[in-house]
Amino acid sequence: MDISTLFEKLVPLIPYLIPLVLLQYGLLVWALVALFKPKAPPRLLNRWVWFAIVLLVNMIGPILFLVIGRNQDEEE
Amino acid sequence: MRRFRILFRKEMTENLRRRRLLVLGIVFLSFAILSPMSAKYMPDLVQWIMSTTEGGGLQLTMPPPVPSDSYVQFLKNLTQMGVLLYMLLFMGAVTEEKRKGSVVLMLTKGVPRSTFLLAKFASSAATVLGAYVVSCVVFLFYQWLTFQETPGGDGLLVLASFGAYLVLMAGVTLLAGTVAQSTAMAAVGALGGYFLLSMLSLLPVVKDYTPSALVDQGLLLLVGKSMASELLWPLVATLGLSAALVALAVALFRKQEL
Repeated sequence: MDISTLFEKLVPLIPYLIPLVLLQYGLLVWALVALFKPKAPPRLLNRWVWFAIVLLVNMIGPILFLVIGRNQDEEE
Repeated sequence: MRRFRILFRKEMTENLRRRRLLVLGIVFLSFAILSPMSAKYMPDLVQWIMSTTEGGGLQLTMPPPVPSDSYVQFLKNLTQMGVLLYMLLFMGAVTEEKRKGSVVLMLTKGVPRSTFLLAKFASSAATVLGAYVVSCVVFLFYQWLTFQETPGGDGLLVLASFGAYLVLMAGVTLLAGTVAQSTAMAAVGALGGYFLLSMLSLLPVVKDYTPSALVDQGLLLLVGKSMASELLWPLVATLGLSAALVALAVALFRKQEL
């Protein structure tokens, strides 16, 4: 299969992938905001280690932080 | 019943406030969007990548994608990543209350121990099922977009029966949280229970009646290699096991010193 045929197939899909991109970036922003709350230091790891994980590990990084790294006791 | 309703509402508020529903929803929705898309277009992408490899390109013939491929991906994603995430989110539901001492406070106000646990179970099951139902609707929409498959029949049956699997995982997590004294132990217990249940399908005697068979038989049904009636026993076993796990958790919690 050549690249132009592949492009012809994939380009019409872009609008349908927008929700996925929004979900992904929404998660990223949410995780970063929660990570840098001054009164809620993250659990288990250092803030900057979490920052690297959230930023570098696509999708799974923010989820992991929100599930096990977010300090909810201090947030409340 | 009134106490149960109040506690259930409190738990649901807690699940919303702690953003458990939101995290589950986002992840389940991502699976719902990704699974049909990748099932449909991954073969094309792989073929293109193979054709660009050095040495004139490697010819690889892949079978054309069929609608059941997306169900395979969706349900496999949910049984692995989805369930693990659910357990991580809810592992502390009981143990955190024990740690903070709020459970003692509640019990001294006359809340029966069984009501406390049942409300926990019902709310966590409702949360995961809520996220699942929404993701199923989105999944079916994307399934229609990519494969032009109208929802109905066996597909809906398979998706609905998978709900029972999620309820079972709520039972496993509840039991682990009840037995464990710390959240870390609850996580170990819940994951241990999950792996144990997955291993059951390796035993030839019970293999067709295990919770994993619910997923496997469902996927076979979609490719026409099984019948809808084959789903009945795994479904009964899964729901029965869920009830047994919750009953066991309640029995153990009644005797537990807090």
